[in-house]
Amino acid sequence: MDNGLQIQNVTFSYKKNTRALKNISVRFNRGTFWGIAGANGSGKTTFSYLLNGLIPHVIKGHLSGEVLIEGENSRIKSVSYFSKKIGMVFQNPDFSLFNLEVYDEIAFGLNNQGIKNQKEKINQALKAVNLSGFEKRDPQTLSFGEKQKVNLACVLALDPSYIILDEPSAMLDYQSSINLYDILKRLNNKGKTIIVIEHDTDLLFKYTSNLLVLNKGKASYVGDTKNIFSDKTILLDNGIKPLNYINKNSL
Amino acid sequence: MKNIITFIKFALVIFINYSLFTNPSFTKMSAIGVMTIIVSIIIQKNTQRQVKFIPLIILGLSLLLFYLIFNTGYPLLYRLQLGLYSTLKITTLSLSVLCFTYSTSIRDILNFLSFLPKDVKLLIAITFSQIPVTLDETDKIISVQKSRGQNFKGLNIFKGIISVIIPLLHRNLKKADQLSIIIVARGYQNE
Repeated sequence: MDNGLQIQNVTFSYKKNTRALKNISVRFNRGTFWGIAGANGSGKTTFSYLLNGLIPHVIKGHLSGEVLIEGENSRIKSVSYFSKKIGMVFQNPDFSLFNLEVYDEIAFGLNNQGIKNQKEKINQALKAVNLSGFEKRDPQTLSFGEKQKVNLACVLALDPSYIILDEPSAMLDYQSSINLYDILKRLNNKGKTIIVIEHDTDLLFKYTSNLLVLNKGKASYVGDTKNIFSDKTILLDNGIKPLNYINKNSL
Repeated sequence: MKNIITFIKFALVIFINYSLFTNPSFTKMSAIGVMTIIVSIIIQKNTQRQVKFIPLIILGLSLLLFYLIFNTGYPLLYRLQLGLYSTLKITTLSLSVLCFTYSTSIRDILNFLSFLPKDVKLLIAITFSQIPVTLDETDKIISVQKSRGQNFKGLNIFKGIISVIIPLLHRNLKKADQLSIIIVARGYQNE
């Protein structure tokens, strides 16, 4: 079934009267490269939790509207079921790694899904993120960029159709960010749907084809990335830095 | 083979600790104590890991002092003997566990404990993996608090410890919260 990820009129609140997401409708088609942007506290991370069923199964609150993952309602099936289809890389890799070896870290998801032929899948996943030979390394001793790549490998080993990344370039240097986004682009070319939450407008402009802009929990823009970058006012109203904005203004 | 070696070590630690709590004679206790100390020195030399004897000595001396100052109803010699007995007991117990953990890698311990339920194994793996991270974070928090003017000398140590423990606890709770979400997102289902 190729219905993509459909978010239909979703409103979510952690507590009563404090709405984190307000009436959002968006559809992520297969094979696209989406960016999600917005100011701090605009609901980007909460929105990402919606996409793989963490809301409402793990993160409690009041949810209205429907989230359809390839036609299946996220309320009905478990997060474990959706983890085969949707992989999520969380914001802080320091908090995401909890095994003693990189191999175990990647094998964790495979064990949970009861997947055999683990060694081959782990090697493939590590090769995809340019970390071949890192199997026996302690994840805690890796650099920040390598940790982020291990997180991505954990997701890739399960071969999901959709990959969501929450600020993958935060705390990475420019070159590491480019390397990571090149890997994502390569995966996108192979047919994977990539959804990145990102603050860096240069990366958004260069790599994403579609953009969802959130502002105080509302979707203020859904559409083509190139179009929104031609309108500085919309970007600035939503707390997003236009391209080359600081350079031009400081001159 | 590694599992058998780990089992033997584990059984030895259990045997030593069990024999300590069956009220052995002072001679037997001293023999076990001296043996454990020798083994720990050998392990220290072979593994090049520093067995921290000083905290154990401080603990032992405090225990000895406790017996000498209190329990005044008994003669001094008897109190000294009781104190030494307890000191030996606690030191041997700690050293035997240290010997086991210092001579066995975390991977071997986890492999040996493979018979445990899935949830418990995950719990142990997370605990072991987070110990060095937590220690590292403690060092960072101490540096941050020092740079903000927190004094760790003299009586200020108590205030200093609180200024480290609270952010560390906050950070660890937040991390635990995040980790639980990540584990579920990777398809984990508890039994």
